[in-house]
Amino acid sequence: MAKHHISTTINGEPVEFLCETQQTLLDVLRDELGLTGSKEGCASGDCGACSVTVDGRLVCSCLVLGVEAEGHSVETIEGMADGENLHPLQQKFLEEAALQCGICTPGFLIAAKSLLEKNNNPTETEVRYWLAGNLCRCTGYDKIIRSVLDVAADMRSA
Amino acid sequence: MNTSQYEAPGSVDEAVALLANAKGNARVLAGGTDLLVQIRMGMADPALIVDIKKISEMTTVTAENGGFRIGAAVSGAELNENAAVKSMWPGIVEAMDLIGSTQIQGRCTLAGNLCNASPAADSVPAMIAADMTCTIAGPNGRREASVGSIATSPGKTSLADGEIVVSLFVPAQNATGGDAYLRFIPRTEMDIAVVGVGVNLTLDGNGVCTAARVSLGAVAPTALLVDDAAKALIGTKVDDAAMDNLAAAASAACNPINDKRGTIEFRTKVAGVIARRTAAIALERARSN
Amino acid sequence: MTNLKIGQAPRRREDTRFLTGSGRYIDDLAFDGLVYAVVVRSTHGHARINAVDISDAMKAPGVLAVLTGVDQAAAGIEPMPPYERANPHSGEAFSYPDQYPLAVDVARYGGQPVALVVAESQNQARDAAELVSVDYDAAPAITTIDVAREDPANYCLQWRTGDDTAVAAGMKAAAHVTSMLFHNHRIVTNPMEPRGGVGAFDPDSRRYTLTVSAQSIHNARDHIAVSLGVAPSDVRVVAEDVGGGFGSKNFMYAEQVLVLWAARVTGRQVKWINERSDGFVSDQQARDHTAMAELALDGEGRFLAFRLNGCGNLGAYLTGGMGRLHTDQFAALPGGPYIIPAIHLTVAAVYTNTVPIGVSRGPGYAESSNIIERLIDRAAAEMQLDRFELRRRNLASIAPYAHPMGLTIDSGAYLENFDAAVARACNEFENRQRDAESRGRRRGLGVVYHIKATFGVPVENVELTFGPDDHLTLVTGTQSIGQGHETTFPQILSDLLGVPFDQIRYCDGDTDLIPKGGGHGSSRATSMAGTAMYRAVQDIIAKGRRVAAHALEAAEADIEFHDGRFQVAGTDRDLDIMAVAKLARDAGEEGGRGLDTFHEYIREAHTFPNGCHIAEVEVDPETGTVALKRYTGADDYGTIINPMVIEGQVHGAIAQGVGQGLMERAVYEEGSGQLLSGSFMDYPMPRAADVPSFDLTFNEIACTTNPLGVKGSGEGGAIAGLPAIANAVLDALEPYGVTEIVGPATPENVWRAIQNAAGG
Repeated sequence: MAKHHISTTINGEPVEFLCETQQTLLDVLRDELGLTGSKEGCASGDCGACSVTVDGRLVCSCLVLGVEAEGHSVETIEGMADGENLHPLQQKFLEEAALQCGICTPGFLIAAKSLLEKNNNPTETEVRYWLAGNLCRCTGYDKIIRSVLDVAADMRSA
Repeated sequence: MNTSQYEAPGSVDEAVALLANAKGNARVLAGGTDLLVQIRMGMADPALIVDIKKISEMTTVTAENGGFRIGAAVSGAELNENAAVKSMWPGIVEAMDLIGSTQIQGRCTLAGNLCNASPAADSVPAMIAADMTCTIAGPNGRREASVGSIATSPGKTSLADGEIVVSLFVPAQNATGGDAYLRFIPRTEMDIAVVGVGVNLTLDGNGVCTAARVSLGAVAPTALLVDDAAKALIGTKVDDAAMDNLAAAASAACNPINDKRGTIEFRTKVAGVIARRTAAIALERARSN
Repeated sequence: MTNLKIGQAPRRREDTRFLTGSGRYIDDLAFDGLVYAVVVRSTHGHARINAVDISDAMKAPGVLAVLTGVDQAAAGIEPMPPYERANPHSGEAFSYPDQYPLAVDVARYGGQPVALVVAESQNQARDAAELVSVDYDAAPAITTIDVAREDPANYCLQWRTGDDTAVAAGMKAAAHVTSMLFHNHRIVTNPMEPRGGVGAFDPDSRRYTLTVSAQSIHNARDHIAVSLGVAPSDVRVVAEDVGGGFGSKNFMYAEQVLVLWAARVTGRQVKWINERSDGFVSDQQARDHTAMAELALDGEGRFLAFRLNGCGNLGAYLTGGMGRLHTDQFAALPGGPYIIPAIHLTVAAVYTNTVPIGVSRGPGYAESSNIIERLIDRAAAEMQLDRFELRRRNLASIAPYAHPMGLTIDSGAYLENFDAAVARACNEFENRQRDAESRGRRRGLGVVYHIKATFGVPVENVELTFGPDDHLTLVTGTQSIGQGHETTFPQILSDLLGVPFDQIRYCDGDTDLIPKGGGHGSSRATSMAGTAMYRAVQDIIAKGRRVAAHALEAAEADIEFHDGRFQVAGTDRDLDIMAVAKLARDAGEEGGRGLDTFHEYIREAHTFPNGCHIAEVEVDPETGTVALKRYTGADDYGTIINPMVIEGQVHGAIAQGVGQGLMERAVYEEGSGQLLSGSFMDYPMPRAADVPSFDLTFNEIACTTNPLGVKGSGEGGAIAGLPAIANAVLDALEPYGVTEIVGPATPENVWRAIQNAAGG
């Protein structure tokens, strides 16, 4: 079967790629486009390490087919910083060391960004539930949650 | 692997035609949260994947007869953002919201949850309690069916070959009605329900329950509509005695499988506890309506 | 360009690449001419393998090779040796079955590698793996310790240690003896990055290179070489960024040998990445330990004697240093930080048809702490004593403390930490308890005093090199897999040598860079490499003074070193260390090495990280649901290099410990040996919504046996979590008469305990 020719937008740039039907968006990002920031932790949607947004909606890229990206806009961790300038969440994670081994971090950042775009005044409980789809074995979540709450507070006072 | 044909038709008729003409196993792709896992695990290798998200009828929520028609590809996140549905049927939206994580919510659908036919599907008891129906399209045209008639056993549905669920319809809630859904799980987020209870009840001006539907999930091969549990509430002011009877009826209706998520005895007892708690929320909502 | 001091909190250097998706984890690396390997694993817990038919797989598109167990002999593949093969105390050899990388005629656990399929693409390898046909005769699988113990052939080791006579006397003299049975249930460590590796073979040099996600690569190199039948110098192991390990990536694995063998066979670089489902049945699991324990107390509650009879489930094979876990870590500090004059241990370990057991945060100590801390609560209940007071009365308040099992604990402030944690945790507890009661819930507190002795590889080395570009490069045999050494080690050197932080480069993760290495394990890295760095720095300063004295035309005795400068005492004549390094190099000092210094440190003493942890839970008695509401800790990890880093270490360990306490448990089906909890749906791990923020304080009691005063911080929470949760749940359920929770405090376990107490 011929591969699909897909035209999409990734991190604001038009991108075209070829993929087979059963290739996931995660496979396409990592293997076809060299965007290895999104990670495969489970391939079943349980760990959130592959989190990206599609048209602003938070999803697991392991549960989206590459062909579904046609005509849509995908945001990945590689597009989060503005050149050398880290996104406020990246900056806060850095300042508070809200990461250790770093493998789950891109997924948490994408998920947290999606939360703060919806709600810049979340409660701790709301942050914890929103991020419950992202597994981390290193941090116990404490600094991640605090960092997200701190960025939300910074956003409100800005 | 990787030999599937992929189609994203623009209409229900095209989708039905594709499915009818499929050579080999065809699967409908809405949110893909079950299908893609099955493909990766080697449990599914469809020859044809029909993506229904380009069909406007299947991707929108519209007002209809005082209630709502919900397209089969509407995601949990979209439903949760629909203030009108959430206001009228909070229990359904909350049940939907319990399916998986935020990421899963971005993709999963009521119709997918229904057609996956898991006994533990969160949204199904809430939909049954609300007396929801669905519109099904197939080679022989369209038909209506109750939500409760779709799942026939774990993983099996009453859909004929080539049939797809187009949309779900939830009727108008009674002016003094309220619904609720609670589930019981081994941990606080992201898991399959051990017991799920949907309650929808209506009060009269004196606070007497005039109508009720109680549905239990995860305690039998398919979600149950438990008439005895509803009867326990109807005609009462939903007082402690009625709640005791509700809990007893819910426990009595259980026919759970014995697996590692909860043994029969535990599920049975907890079903009663959760039924009571769910009814209390529905009651509160009905009173405030 | 600033110098940093120990105790400051510079941001982690590694984080910028992690935060931007630029981390270099094994699956992110590019290799030339890569081909892909998929492991065919046993689908039976126990089976005879009659034949492995690879004919269809060999014909599948893209397939380059299919390796099976019977090919191993001709290829010179040897069994994978356990790292420890005899009891270090008695010298008695451990009994263990040969473990070849691929099962030969028997599969001893579900998930055991049976064949390796190599193909041009990942999908081709996956498809071809399904075509490998294995003819099995399934046999009954033993999954539990109790069943395994029925047959002497299943034993790996049996050992008795301690003073049996004194314990018998203590038991006889006691006013009360409390006894309990324990099962510390099995867990799957599940680092978020699955294991993986890329094998390469250079036919000219006959050298193998393994690029791998692992945490102790020198040890892996030495033992992989044995299995390949070559010298360690013929194997290079490289690890770039590693996405967590927690012990489960500590010891060698079959796949690491297999990709190297496959690289030799195919002449290509061979990549294998575990799927999560592979990880559940092939990553070394942890815990799974039973014990019968008795604690004798006098009338005032003073501990008199402790008898402990423990047995570990090793799984199907003896992996890595597991024999020593039972004879060292588990046997090191029974009774924890409490003074118990007489202790006797019986230690045993048996084989079963389950995934091999390895280590996970706090191995050995997690088991022994759970035993003593739960015994104390039980004893308090039986003797109607206050469990806090009972602990206070017995905590060792002397330092150094000579533990009866032989180790000397150099330092510690147990009572101080205990009181600090209790004061914060108990503050207004009654109010919260009343509030919970009004909602039909029960609150409980569980207190634990954790302690461990750091072990791990007892040798560490560092190489410090002054480059021509005014940079100092540190090469270490330890390995950072999330602990932030890339930041904290240069921070230590910046403090000790007065070299600006930005001028210090950090290198680890390559066995060709430095002769030895203990990697990461048992919270050893900073005490071991830190001591090596400290001593290397002393050498550098001594050498530098000689060079500076010559250059400054002063007597060596008059040269002082401070803040990175060598100065003639009482004058303003001085030289920067970088200038001295250049002079030394140019003058050909030290055989041309100038100030460059290698130092190997052999462990002289263990360190003893410790602290008091208190969990507060709320139980819903109608459903058995347990919510962790608060978690308080007062910990002593010695001198803190970087407080920001250490907090994170402790948080992660707590989450893992309470995960075992609340939900995590690996369950095998009896008879078939199938792992029933083999996915994240069936094996819950703590998520952000399952844990609260943690209330922690640190009491920096410097370790007296290493120059930096550090103790190691990665494991306390994982040791304390299980007993803290269990004790808290039992406290909450005290009015129901519940005295025991077996396994994690899952809703059904808790609900059943309530029903059983009511029924009994």
